[in-house]
Amino acid sequence: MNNSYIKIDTLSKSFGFKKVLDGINLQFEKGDFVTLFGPNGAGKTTLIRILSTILKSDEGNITISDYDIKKNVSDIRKIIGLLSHENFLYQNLTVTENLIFFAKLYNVKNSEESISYKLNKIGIYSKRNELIRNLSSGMKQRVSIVRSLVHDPEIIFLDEPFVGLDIEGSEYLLELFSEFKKENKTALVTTHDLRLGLHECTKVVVINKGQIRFNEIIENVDVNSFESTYKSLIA
Amino acid sequence: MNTLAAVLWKDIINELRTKEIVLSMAAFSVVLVVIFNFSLVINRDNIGHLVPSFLWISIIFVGTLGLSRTFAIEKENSAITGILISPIDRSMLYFAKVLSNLLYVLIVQFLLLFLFLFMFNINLTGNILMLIIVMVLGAVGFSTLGTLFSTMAINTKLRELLLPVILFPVIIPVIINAVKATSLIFSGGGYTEIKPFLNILIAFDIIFLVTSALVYEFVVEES
Repeated sequence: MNNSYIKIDTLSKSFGFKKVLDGINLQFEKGDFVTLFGPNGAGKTTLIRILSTILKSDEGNITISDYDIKKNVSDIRKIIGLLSHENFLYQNLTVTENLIFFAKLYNVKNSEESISYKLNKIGIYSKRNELIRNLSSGMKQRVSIVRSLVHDPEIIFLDEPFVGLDIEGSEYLLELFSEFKKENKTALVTTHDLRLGLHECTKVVVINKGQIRFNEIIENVDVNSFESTYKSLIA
Repeated sequence: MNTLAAVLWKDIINELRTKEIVLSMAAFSVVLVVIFNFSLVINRDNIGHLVPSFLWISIIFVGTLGLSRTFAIEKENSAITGILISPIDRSMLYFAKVLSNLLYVLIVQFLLLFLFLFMFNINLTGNILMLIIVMVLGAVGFSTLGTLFSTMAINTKLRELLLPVILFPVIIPVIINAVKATSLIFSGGGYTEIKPFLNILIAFDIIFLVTSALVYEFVVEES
C-alpha cells in the first residue's frame, strides 16, 4: 500500500536505441488534475500510453489506485479512460452506435441516457445518428472525448485533447474539466497550449528528453511568467 | 458473452453498411472460378479429384482475402486499441472475431460451391448434408487459425503478404482432410468412408480453437 493514487517509480522506456523515458518518478493524489507540458518528442505520449496499459515499460514500477500495472492490468483498465491522438472510432458506425459499443465493453448498463447527456455536454447531440466517416476531425475528436468517458472512469488520460477542437469545443472541454474536479476525478492532460493547460490544473509537470524538469502544484507556479519558465525548461 | 455479442454486432453492422468484405470475396471467387473453368477440363473420371481440390484452394485464397480485410477495419483509427484498453476477456474477443470471420467464409464458401457446380455443369448426386458438414468443419478450422494469425500479422508492414505465408502451412491438415472428404462425396462415397476424415476435421477444429483461444491474449497484447 502507498498513499499516492498514481505512483510512477523510475520508469524507463526505449524504442530501439532511443531512450524515450529515462527514470521518471511522479506521484499524484486522487482528485489531482495534472497538466503535462513538453515539446514534441519529449515522451508525453509514451508516458500516457504506458499508464493506459497500451505499452509496457522497460524498467520501473507503476501503481494506480493500489493496483500494480504489471499484475492487475484488468483492474486498472476498468477505472481508466483514454483520449489518444487516434480516435479509436469505427468509421461506418454512427456516433451513438460507436459509443454504445464501447459502453458494452465496460459492461455499462442502460448507457443510452448517459451517452445522450455527455453528447449534449460536448455539443454534438444533434450529430448522434451520423456516421463517423461523415464527421469533421473536430467532431470526431468530440465523439472520442465522450468515448473515453463512456464508463465514467475514475482516472482520465487525455493526450492533447484540444487538437482539432474549435473555440466552442475547447470551451465545452474546459467545462468537462471543471466537472471532473467537482467529481474528484483524477486527470492527466498533455497539451502544448499553456493557457488552456493551466486553466483547470492543480499540478504542473514539464517533461523534456524523457526526464521530468518541473513538477509543482499550481499554487507554486507563477502563471503569468510560466511561459518564460517553460521556454527555459525545454531549451 | 456481452463482449462477444457486442463485437459480433459491430462487425455485422459494419459489413451490412459497407459490404466490402463479402463483396470483395465474392468478386474474387467469380474471377477464380472463371479462370479455372477455362483452364480445367472436367469429365466424369476426374471430377472427384479436380473439383474438390480447386474448390478448397479457392476457399483458402478467398478466405485469406477476407481475413486481411476484417483486421484492416480494426486498424483504421486504431479502433482495436480502443477495444484493448477495455477490461474485456481477450478470449471473448477472439471468439467474436472467429464467429464474424466464420460467417463471411461460410457465405463465400457456399457461393463458391454454387459457382463450381454451375460453371462446370456438375449434377451433384452425393450426400449434400455430408458436404455441408464438411464445408462447415473446414470453415471452422480456417476461421479459428485465420483469426489468430491475422491478429499476429495486424501490426506488420507486410501483413497481407505475411498472413498466407504463416497461415497456409498450419492449415494444411484441415484442407487435406476437407479435400479428401469432399472428393468422396463427389464420387458418391458413403458415410462410413467419409467418417474418418470428418473425425480428423473435428479433432483439428477443437485443437485449433482451444489452443488459439488460450494464446490469443498474449498474441493480441503484443500485436
